[in-house]
Amino acid sequence: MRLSRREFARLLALSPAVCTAGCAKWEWEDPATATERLVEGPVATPLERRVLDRLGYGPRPGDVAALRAQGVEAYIAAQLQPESIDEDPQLLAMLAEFDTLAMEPEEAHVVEQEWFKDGVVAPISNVLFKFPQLYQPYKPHVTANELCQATAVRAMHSRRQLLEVMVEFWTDHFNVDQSKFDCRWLKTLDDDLIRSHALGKFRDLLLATARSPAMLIYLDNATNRKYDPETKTPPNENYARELLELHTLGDTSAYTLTDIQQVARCFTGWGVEGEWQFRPGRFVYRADDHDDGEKTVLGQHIPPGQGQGDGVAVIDLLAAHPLTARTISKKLCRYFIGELVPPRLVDRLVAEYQRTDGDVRAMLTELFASDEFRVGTSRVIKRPFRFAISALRGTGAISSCSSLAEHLEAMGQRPFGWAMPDGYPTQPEIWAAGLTGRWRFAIELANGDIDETRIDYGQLERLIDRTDPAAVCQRLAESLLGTTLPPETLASLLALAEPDRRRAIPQWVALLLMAPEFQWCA
Amino acid sequence: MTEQSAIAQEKLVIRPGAGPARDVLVTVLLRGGMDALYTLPPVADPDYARHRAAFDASATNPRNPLKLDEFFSLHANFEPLAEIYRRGHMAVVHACGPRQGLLSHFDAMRLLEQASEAEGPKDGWLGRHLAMQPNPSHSPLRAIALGNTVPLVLRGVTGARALDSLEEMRIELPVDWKPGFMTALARLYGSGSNPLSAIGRGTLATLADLDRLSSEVGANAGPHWDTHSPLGRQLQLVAKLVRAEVGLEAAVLTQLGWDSHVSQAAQIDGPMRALAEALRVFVDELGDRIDRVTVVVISEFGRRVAPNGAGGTDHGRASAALVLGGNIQGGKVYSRWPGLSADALDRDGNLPVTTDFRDVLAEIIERRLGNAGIDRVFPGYQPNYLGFTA
Repeated sequence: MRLSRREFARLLALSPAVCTAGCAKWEWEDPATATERLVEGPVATPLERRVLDRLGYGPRPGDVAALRAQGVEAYIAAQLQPESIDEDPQLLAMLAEFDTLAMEPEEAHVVEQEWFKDGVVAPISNVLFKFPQLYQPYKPHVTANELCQATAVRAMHSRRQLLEVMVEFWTDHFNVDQSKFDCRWLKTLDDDLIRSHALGKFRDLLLATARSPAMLIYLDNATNRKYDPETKTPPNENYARELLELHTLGDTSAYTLTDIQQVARCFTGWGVEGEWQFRPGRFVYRADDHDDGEKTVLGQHIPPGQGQGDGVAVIDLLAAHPLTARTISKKLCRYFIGELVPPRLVDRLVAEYQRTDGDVRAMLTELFASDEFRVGTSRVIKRPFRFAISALRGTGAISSCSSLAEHLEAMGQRPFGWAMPDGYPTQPEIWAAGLTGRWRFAIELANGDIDETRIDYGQLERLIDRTDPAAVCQRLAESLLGTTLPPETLASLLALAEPDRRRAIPQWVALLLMAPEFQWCA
Repeated sequence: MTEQSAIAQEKLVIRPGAGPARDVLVTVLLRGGMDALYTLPPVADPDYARHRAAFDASATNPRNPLKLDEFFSLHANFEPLAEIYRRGHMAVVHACGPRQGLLSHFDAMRLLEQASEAEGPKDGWLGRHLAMQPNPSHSPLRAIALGNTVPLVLRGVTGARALDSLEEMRIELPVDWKPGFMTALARLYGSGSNPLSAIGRGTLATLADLDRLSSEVGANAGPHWDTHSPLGRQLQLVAKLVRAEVGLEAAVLTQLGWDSHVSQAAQIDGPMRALAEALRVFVDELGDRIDRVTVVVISEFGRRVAPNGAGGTDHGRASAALVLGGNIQGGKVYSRWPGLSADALDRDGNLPVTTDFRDVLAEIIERRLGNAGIDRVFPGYQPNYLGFTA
């Protein structure tokens, strides 16, 4: 899935002129962003809207018409095969601007050291607070910032919407906090791993994350060595513990502290090249640090002398475990259907996992075809990332997303910024309390106060000059909320159109993005 | 902001002095597992030096002036707490935590916040307590979580909300937008079955209330806040809300950064200093109002007695609780100290819990918050009070 910079360049050459002289790279001319389409075209059916909201980051102007032309079933099938969808060349051109995105670890390592030579403090997230002594002389962190920006740009523009949603899903499942040591730049490589396995076999993804330098540092396995009789130091248990509890089995009553310690022994010697800060960023297996004795994990005997095979055996054992199938099935249901997880659907996904050796695509195929998904039994709240991206998409805004990480941090969801290994939560009651941040974002977006971001109101202004304001307002509401406004609410919005109709438009857009309905996926 | 004020008058009016006739409870959750053997070292324990002397040389320095008593010391990074302790406004409860001894962050944190047995209620102990109390003021600032999300401990009471700063709670409208904008927003949240509608109405009321508050007390900033510490900034806001008497009953703050598997000294020096400095300035700022406030600081577990090979410590069992307030019999370590000998530790080499954290919470909730129904806050648990409340 990952494109090299050469491929970017080739695609760029094939694509029509993206940027004309005098216009920034993000200000492309895309007919799909014309706000005229906000008030044109068909109104989405509930299922169409659910598909666009849950398999992606919400409809852009024109997306409902495109979905209807393609058909819901064909759309879902295509989203499940992202490699079959030609990516938007303008997106690829934009991504090509991010130098650190496609670098090999060695090159990224050199860039990283260059950036850290001198400069001023500009911490990412709350690192200054957590590790003040480590972050004094640093410049703004280019690698971390580029990954955050690229993630937002992809969510906003990729035609492979489901892939982006699943990358977000696994990013939480295999959480890595960018603010921990070398994770700030190694997360970019980790993101590539997640991306290439997001719809593949769970076992392959699990093994890839076990060997991901960012994960090895984040959960301390990079310091996991066999028992040292001199210092009486046991292996580091942190990765083993979260591997069992969060990545696979889920149920902490299914294993003991002894199992954790045995798993930790299996992963001794799995580390990252180099010693402390500024490691070159490749996985390394150090046989000298590995405990090659025999182990027993969850009742299964692992014979001595297997070297790196110990860890792989644990990955295989866990990936094949029925509790892992259940953990992943429940989590997918919670993500796409809502907090009220339908038990029978979970059972069907577990069966699908077991039938296909943990094939994520097969599980999602079953999930999207289910009555539970089609009927929409439970609500899914938009977390701040999805809220912001769906607001940008829904209004046909154009944006470089350069300052989006700051806005998301204010709303409580900076990408790759969750400190604990369980990933950002999904429960509505946790996110429902943070309306103010969303309201501020909506006002700033609608009023053009977000850096390198604007909504072109020209078409709507010309339209409202010659049309009944109530009709325009209701059509906007249908487009953004999927429903029209009740009379009293409509009246309060129409009051904003006197005497200057045009000035009402950004206020309506802000209000509709602030509305309770917009905070949920359809 | 005039339209907001108009909405507030429409919805509800918060009168100064509408607060409860009981203590405001400030709960600080130290997430990650605080190593109380490091922060509050039992320097006189005969086995302490064997385990920890090389790990933290400062603690065994005989000239270390930060003695809590003849047995326990205060780590140098906790120096700002020494004066509060000497004044008798801080008690230490050592070897404290959830007795079940779960070593997963999430299970242990859930236990710390739910404080119930396996088949018990799934909401939080603070939410359960608040739900049992009369709420005559209907203050939208009755129960707040500092930050962006409401943690589990507050679940169970309606109207608990996340709040990060007065500044972030301000909605600045562009100058040429119509005054009817906030009215329209209130209308969007005014009806309907959307689960967010009530929350949105509460948020609008909070906005109006904070707008008034920031003009009343906003200029009166604290003396010397550590602006790098989110905890310090958030405690400053809590102090403001206490002083403004806006009906605040419970505030929950969270501090991250205690999960010190690697290079413990480097990792937790910052959080330690930030915590101690923030609490000291909070107490200073409150002045006499400290008589109406109880602060409890707890963590989901402590760390393994033996350090690991990376200069860090792995998940252990007992940690410690700090209790601060004007009506606390402080200046004393409340501890049934198990000792650090091989016999005293559990089979994994962890310090056992001798004081269930619910004993600490129950004593505060009954004696300082006036809740006589402790059996409903902690169903199925019979607490033993340590007697640290005045």
